Amino acid sequence: MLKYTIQRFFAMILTLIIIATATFFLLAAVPGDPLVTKAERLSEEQKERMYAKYGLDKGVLERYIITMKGFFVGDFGESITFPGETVWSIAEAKLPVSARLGIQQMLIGITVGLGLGIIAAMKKGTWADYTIITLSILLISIPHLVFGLLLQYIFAGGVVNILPTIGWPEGDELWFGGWEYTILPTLTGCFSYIASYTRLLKTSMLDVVNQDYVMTAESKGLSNMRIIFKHVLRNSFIPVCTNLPMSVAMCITGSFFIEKIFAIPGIGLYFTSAVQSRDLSIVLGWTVLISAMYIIVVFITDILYTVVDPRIRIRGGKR
Amino acid sequence: MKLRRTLALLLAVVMAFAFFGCNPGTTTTTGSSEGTTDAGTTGSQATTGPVAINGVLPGSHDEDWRDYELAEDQVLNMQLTWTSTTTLDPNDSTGSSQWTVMQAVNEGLFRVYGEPDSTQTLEPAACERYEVSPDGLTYTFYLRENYWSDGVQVTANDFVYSFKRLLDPEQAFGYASYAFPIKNAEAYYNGQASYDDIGVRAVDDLTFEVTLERPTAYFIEMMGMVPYYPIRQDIVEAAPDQETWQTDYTYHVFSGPFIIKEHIKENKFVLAPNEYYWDKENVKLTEVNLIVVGEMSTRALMFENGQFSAVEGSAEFIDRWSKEAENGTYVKLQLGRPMTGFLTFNQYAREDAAELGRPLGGKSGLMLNEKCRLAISLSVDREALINTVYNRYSIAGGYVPPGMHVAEQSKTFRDQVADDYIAELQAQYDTKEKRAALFEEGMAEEGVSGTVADVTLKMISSATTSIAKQALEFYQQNIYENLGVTIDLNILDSSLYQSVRDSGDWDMGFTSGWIGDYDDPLTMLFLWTSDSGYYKSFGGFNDEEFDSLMAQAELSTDPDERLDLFAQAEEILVTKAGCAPLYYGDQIWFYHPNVHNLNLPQLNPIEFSRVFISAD
Repeated sequence: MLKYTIQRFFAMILTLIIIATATFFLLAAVPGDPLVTKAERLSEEQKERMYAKYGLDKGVLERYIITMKGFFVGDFGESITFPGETVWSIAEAKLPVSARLGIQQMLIGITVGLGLGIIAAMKKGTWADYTIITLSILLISIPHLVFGLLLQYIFAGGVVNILPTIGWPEGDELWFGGWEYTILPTLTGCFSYIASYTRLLKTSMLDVVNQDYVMTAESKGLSNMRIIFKHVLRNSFIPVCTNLPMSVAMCITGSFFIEKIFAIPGIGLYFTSAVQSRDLSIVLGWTVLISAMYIIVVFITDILYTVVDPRIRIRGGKR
Repeated sequence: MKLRRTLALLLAVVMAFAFFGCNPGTTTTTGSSEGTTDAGTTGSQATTGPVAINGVLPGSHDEDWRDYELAEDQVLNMQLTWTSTTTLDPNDSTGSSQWTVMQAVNEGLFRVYGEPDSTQTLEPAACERYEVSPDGLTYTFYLRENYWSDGVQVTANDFVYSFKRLLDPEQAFGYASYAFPIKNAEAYYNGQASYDDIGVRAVDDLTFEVTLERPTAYFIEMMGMVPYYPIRQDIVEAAPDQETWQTDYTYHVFSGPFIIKEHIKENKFVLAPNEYYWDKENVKLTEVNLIVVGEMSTRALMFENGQFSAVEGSAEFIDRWSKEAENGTYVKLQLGRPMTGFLTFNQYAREDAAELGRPLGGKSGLMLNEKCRLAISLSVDREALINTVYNRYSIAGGYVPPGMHVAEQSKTFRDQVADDYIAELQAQYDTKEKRAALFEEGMAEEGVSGTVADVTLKMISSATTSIAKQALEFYQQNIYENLGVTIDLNILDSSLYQSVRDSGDWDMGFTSGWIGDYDDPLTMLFLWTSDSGYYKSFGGFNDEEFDSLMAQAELSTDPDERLDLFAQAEEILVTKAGCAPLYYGDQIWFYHPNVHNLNLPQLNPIEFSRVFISAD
């Protein structure tokens, strides 16, 4: 296990270097640069000075070397769009907010989604099944933006005024408390989890139900509940585990619209605007951070697999 | 009491916004659907302008809080637009959001007030009065007794430090060149003079003196701009590093009406009154919340709920709120803004254009020909544009927008020089055939055979808003119908736009235009001088006569002569179609009737230092 972990660690570093390199050159290849907006009103001489200030007057290779040197000490440089900010300063200030929003969405979304998935699978072919599946398809088709604005209109002023229109808990309430602010954003985001996990679990449960060992269990005369929780569910969790890392990575970056609608001081705005404005240091930093996060979550899920299905064994080196 | 001089300063980012329209529907230059046209853009049109409520014109900032019963809660909640609000460095702030905050927490030499007739006034703020030497070279500002929020007195040294810092070439501040009229400023910026040579000094603690390179009529107009606000050197140096100081409000002291109590980056500012402020008696607000709400629908909901005290009008809501404003539910404030929207023509004719392999006269090779350009300019139906696409703004029959004075003149440029160039030419070329003939004459001059039907012009834009896209399609259709030339429309993402633009492989462009920086036609017209440095952005205009008129105007200090020179230059620009001016801009805000003294300067962003909330 230790050997495996070490191997995974070095593979991760290598992956991150490749990702950083690819991101760098992709950004360098795309036309345009981060100073377009900033320098638009400047004369040519002033533009040159400003490009020099951010090192953008240097050649691509030279910039790449500088960037990679920074990469190894975790210094991606200062943002151009947000003067004075670095990836780390943004992460420090904004990540907790986005993380709480993401975690709340995932906890509620996945729990409810899995619950509904079980119901849909157990009541396969009944009205309950059809209702759940139709609703989940409907919910996943509504964009966050529309859904958020709709919820806002209904609960925060347009119809009834029982929840805050915008805002997010801060200070001592950053992680716990200020729940009323989090209700609408969480609801907006959690439906896509509900929808996808409902369908995922239903499909995979139906696969498992047809397996021999389930029939064996049935023929042994085990109760339905026991079969579901002891045999079916556990085995149907593997596709769920496979999907988790994606969800985790998404929950940090995917809440941009929610953050925008509810004026939540999260990370979404920074990432989106950094990409749009070719703010290299921020894009690169974030891409590497999110990739690292993704890789770590994949690693954790690998371990989770062994818990869910003891037949899977993780081993380092050759078998 | 008040300096009856209008002043015009700028929001660079409104421009950037206008260019790239990153926030659909909220930029001031991207249109709306408002029923009336351009209320009160000029003095003469003021009768169609704002309607007085209780005898007070919207936009007036002269209301006295003593005349009202004040509400218990003196809290102002407002939007900040969706731009970077991070920097708290006056020298480095360029965005309208940044300026909104800076105006509230700092005290410049002057505070800028917008008037109901769409002009601006400069009121002495940090300075009580100023003197200009008879030769027009030395400005002496007598500062009033005011204190920073840590109790230290504001001195002339704080201005000296700020003015010199603005010019630091290492910092490469966007506004540095605006200080070039100051003696040795440009030389210092270019490394040819020393820091001590810059023409600013503290005569004593309360006397600040600026020496200019040459008499500059519009210099005083710039002294209300945020980059000229005072900065305390010891405070900057006490911060761990400059970046920290620029972004962390806890390292700041404030000399303005408010202090920053809380700041969540890119999210909100909470302001509280500054107890050391010299005029704190007239600062009634006890709390100001400036919140970045990205979604217009959310802002609208919050405004209608009363959670926002004021909101900027945006396309889909202007109609509705204007009706409400007629009922007195809201107050509508629509003021002119010295901004002109225009089409650009690719006229790179610089020597390096050929070396760089850029096509001369654009992709079609026709854009260096003034007849071709003029034919295009005349084929755009500006009235239809205003009425069907924008539903706001006013027709630009010339280039210099209303509300702009020739420095030291009391009447605006537009009041003295009629802008009937386009109308007259359109009357002369009043049929498609005549315009096509004009265009074909130009084609022949350029040695291009064929008729208008054979011509396709490549038009580029980085517009993202739906209104701007509608406008582009309008031009495309209009030019085809009224001239017969096909337009190949390319809407590009902003970064890609820049690279296509710089490659020179285009004929026409649409950028939403230019907003003046200060109250003088120079700020609009200099753009089209061949050495302005904007030839890339706007296609350039190479006219020796125009250049020479502008050079004379820049050096002249005689207002009447300058008026005349500007008028001649404008005529050349419009009749030779250096660009095709389309419309003059405006700005529209709505607020609740219990909000008083909301101040909407022509070129500075919204200001609220003397706002109070009445009880009803």
